[in-house]
Amino acid sequence: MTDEKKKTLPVVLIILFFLAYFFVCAQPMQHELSLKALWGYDLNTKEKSPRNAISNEKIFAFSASDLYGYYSSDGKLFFLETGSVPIMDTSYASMEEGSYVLKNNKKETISTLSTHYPFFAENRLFSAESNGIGLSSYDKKGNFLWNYVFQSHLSAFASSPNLVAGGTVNGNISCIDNEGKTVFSFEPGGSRLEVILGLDVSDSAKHVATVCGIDKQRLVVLEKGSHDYRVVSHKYLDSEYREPVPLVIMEDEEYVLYRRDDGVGVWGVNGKTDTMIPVKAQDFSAFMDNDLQIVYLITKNGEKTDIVVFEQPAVMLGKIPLPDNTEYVKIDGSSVYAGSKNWLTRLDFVED
Amino acid sequence: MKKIVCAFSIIIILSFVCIFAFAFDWPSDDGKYDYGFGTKRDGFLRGVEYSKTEKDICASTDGEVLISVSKPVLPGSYPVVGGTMVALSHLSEISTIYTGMNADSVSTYLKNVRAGDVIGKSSNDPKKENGVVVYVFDQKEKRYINPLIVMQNINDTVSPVIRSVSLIRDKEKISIEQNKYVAQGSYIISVDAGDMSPTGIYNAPYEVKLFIDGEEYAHSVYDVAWAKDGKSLLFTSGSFPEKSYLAEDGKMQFGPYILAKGKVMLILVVSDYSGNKREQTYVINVQ
Repeated sequence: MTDEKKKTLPVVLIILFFLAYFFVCAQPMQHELSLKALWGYDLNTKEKSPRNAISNEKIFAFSASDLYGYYSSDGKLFFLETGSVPIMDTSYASMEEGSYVLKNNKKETISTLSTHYPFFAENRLFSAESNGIGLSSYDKKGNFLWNYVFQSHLSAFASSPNLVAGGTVNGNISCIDNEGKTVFSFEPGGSRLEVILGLDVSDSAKHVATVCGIDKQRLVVLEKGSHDYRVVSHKYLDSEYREPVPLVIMEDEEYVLYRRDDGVGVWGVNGKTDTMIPVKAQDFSAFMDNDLQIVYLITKNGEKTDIVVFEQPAVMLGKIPLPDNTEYVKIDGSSVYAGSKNWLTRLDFVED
Repeated sequence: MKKIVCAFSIIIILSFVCIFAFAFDWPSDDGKYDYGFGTKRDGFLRGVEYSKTEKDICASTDGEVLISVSKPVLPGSYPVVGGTMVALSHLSEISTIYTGMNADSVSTYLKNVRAGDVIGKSSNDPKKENGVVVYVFDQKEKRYINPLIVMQNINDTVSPVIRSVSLIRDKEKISIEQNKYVAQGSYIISVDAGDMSPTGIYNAPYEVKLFIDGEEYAHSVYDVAWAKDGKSLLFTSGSFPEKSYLAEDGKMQFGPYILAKGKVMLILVVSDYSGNKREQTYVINVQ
């Protein structure tokens, strides 16, 4: 067997494994939608491609266990380093000689950060303070922009391109604009114990949603009016969570998804829809596929990760279990990139 | 007469019973913490920080779990510094918040706790930057309280220390001890004074008073800290903005004050929570 054949054999086997896995384990989906494996490889043996080899492919950040790096949508792996770092598609912050250094996805240094707790959210660079009540914002070059101190410890956090929201253990939500100024401060109330457990801000900053309080727990949606934010809908929940609650305002801002004991709740922003997707999820994230007009829900229950596909508001089309050791899932359009510390693969949803 | 003495004794006994009934227990080590309220730890410490050793962390009093976080980040990516956070609500509209306990020791199913129940454990994990930090939050007034105020008293007979006092103008720092002659003008007064924690680490004091020519110019009581419009404010005695009060080097800053020509007498009085005091007088010749 030639060297080239030896190299391609593991790749072919991995792709065959994934194809077989999804044929065997997947639950039925609508017949016109299928999942196609484009590429997959073993990270332990995959050769790194020179950075200049990329064409117009998209570049994504990868992070699993104590590994991080970048790859392209066509499967080129640019680099893979050991460590756990804050990372996004365009840059990351690595610890070097006791300080965090902001670098781009070509490993070029942008600046040194004067913070111990940097993190990325919605393509923005922030840092936390060790007391758990402070937030600082930085520009893309790592320059300090503003600092904000919340009323008490943050128990929920959400950000969008133009708005940041922090929910606290004493039941307060403060929203901050891009200059670090308070846009509004709000206490949903209505429960015996006040605490903010879940929070999301829509990309347009028009809506803010929260799961808050204990006895009884509430889902509250606020909408930006001509002058300020006001409650547009709310609902008392049967749950009594005392831990962070996942909550997502969908991209089209029609529905809010939230964790329930019996599945993922779907609540109309205007309060006219109240239904659920019957899939239990301790944690989840949701991504709209505007081409196929469907939503991918990445659910996590302990070590188990599934992709649940549904049409809005709550028509479930199918559920695809990912291997138990899946630590990384990225959705881009109709493409799913999944991986662990040992493997990385791309699967595309296609209409038959 | 006997009846009066008897009634008086009962009142005193009942008062003590009330005080101890409402006092919170220290969550660990009978209050032998390393860093206290107001000490500079990546900013003004709003609670007390324990050393990084293996020990149980217990509920300070009866309460109910508000939130228990055992993952290193919140949804939305905000890091949970120390890896864990547990917040308890108590009947007195006071909540206590515990951060930095071991993730595998924090229960996510607890609802109600009794005083002394173990809510988590701390460790000597070298990867952790901080030990367990315990905060006391007044939900009604929306501010952090110095835990010394609500926890059981700690026996302390050691007086605070005053290390140095300096005048700052245009980034120039003049030590009062070394240069008793200074030019007339407006100065920030920088004070390095503190008190030892129960484990013998230099900490913030409880109270600082600054007198200039016999008149009280500044008074900071390390009782509470809160936030308004995103800014951190300190002490009921004066609403000091944290950024201007606590310097990068951890020293306190007062002023600016205009020092007029002539002799200026500056008196600094520093106290701890037990009432131990240290007083220092400085005479400055302003030219």
